[in-house]
Order: sequence, then C-alpha cells, then structure tokens
Amino acid sequence: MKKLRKKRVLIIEDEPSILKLLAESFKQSGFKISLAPSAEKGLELFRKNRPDLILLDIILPKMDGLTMLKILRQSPGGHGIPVIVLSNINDHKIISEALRIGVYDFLIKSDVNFTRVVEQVKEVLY
Amino acid sequence: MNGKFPKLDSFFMQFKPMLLRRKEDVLSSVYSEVGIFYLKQGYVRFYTVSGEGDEMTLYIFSPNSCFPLWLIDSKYSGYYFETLTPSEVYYCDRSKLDQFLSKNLDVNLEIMQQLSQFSASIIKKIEYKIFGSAYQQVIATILDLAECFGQKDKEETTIVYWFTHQDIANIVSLSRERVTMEINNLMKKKLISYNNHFIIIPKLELLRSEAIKKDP
Repeated sequence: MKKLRKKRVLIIEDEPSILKLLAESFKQSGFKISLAPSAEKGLELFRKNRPDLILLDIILPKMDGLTMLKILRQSPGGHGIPVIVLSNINDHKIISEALRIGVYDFLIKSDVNFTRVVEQVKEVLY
Repeated sequence: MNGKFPKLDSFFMQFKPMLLRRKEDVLSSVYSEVGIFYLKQGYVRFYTVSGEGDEMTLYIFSPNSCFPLWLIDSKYSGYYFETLTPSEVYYCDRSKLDQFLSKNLDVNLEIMQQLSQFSASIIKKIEYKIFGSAYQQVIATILDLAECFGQKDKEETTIVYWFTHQDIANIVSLSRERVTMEINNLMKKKLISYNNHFIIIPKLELLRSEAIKKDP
C-alpha cells in the first residue's frame, strides 16, 4: 500500500503557550511542523520548506499577519496554500480584510478547540 | 448572482456585519425569522432536506447577493443556508428592506436580476437531479463552482478555493466515494486536473459539452 507523505503545517504564532499547544496537537496527529514566532520567520520557513498549510496569527510583532498574507499570496507557490488565520479578538475589519486577500478559514483563539483544528486541517489536506 | 449592486450594498452597510466561518449555519446567527441576508464576501450554499434526510443543494449565493428574496414572509422553515467559505454577512428585517425598495425603485431591477438568475439555476439543478447521471451531476457542480470561484487564464479556468471531494459530495448529495470515482474519470479524460487543491479546467466548453452527452 502506498504510504501517504506526511503533510507539513507551518504555525506562525507569537504566544508561546498557544504555539506549544498547537505544535503538540499537530505532532501527535502525525504532521510535520514548522514553528515561527513572527511573520518574518514564517516567510523564511515558507521559502525554505514549502508547507502544505499555514496557521497564521493575525496580530504579530513587527510585520502583522495581514501583511505577511499579502506577501505570501504574491510569492511563487504562495497562491495555492490554504491559510487558516487565528485572531485573538473578533475584529471584523481585520478578518474581513483577510477574507478579501484569500484564506481557507478563520478561528477565534478564545473559542478554539485544538483537536477540531487538527481535524479541519486533515479534511483539507487528505 | 454575480455582479455589483452598489445601492443595495450601501443600504446593507448600515447594519451590523457578521463574520461566519466555513460550514456555518447562517440562520443560527440571527434570532428572527423574518429577515433578509446580504452576502458581502464569501459563498453560501442554499439547500433543502428530504424526509429521508437527503440534502439537495439548490443554489450557491455569490458576493452581493440577497437572500431569501423569494420567501414572501421570509420564514425559513425547511430551507438551510450554509457557508461554503468564510463569509461576511449583513442582516436586516424584511420591513426595512421593503421600505428602502419602495423609495428606490431602481434597486428593484437589481433584485429582479438576482431572482431571474436564481430561478434559472434552480430549474437547471432540478433537471440534472432528475435526469442526470452521477457523472453529469458532478460535472454540473464543478461548472457551478467554476462560475463562482473561477479565475480565467486564456482558455484555462482555475477554481480558486480548496474544495475537497467531500465538499463536492456535500454539494451534489452523492457519496464521497462516488464523487472521487467521477472526478478520476474526468481526470483520465483530461477534462479537469489539479494544481495543489485547486481544480483546473483546461477548456470550460469541453466540460460543458461532456455534461450534456447522452452516453458519457
């Protein structure tokens, strides 16, 4: 039986506790993970090791998530990668802008169930 | 229901927006059953459910659509609206929209256009559902998605959203396994291909003529 290639998820999140929880959830479910605490690092990792999906925090230090998303969408290979944005607050304008740029879905961090996030990612990648 | 309706858009912008994730039930975001929704961004699937629990997708609403216009008193019983993608939706009482329309007769033309497109699509859907094979129904669904999400580059159309076979199965009301089989058939015939998760249609006309073939 053909072995399925392990999918890679790039998680860009500056809150260490959330980054750790997300990383553990995905690792336990058999994903390869790349972790970035900033948008700049996220772009670097995207170019180095093309991920299959990106989880992107909207509010980041220095370069914000929306700017990173715009750059990603204009980068070679960045147009087709599903991105799920994470927001700490139900900020309509920011999420609305993310929709305009093009995302697979969005999550409000205070409402998120990490197991369900993994299941949602599996749905789109497998 | 594609196209910009600026006056209608401005009218709804005075109300509070709602952001919905993909696969969310639109109706659960409001408490009243006599209102009208305006879809600013995203796509919403309108479907009904039979007594046996089978779903039938009747229409996919695109940005700048109002729904449900066709319900006289806007009561939603028996009909469901589910987001296909993350969406931005506005909502107002039917009476407020009626008041606005009575003072802006030109907007009624925009509404009529929406209703015409809606009716034509429903008729086609019912035709495919009754007379079409699973293969034809899958093609019809892919063509619908191309209409909503398609980006054209010369002759090629790319459906720019990450639809899985399960998503397509939900829209067309077939099993995921059946959809996979029919999509594989389409790929063997080179009528569609995939680039990452985006469906690519090399020539839309070829796919359309495949849908109406008697023995595909």
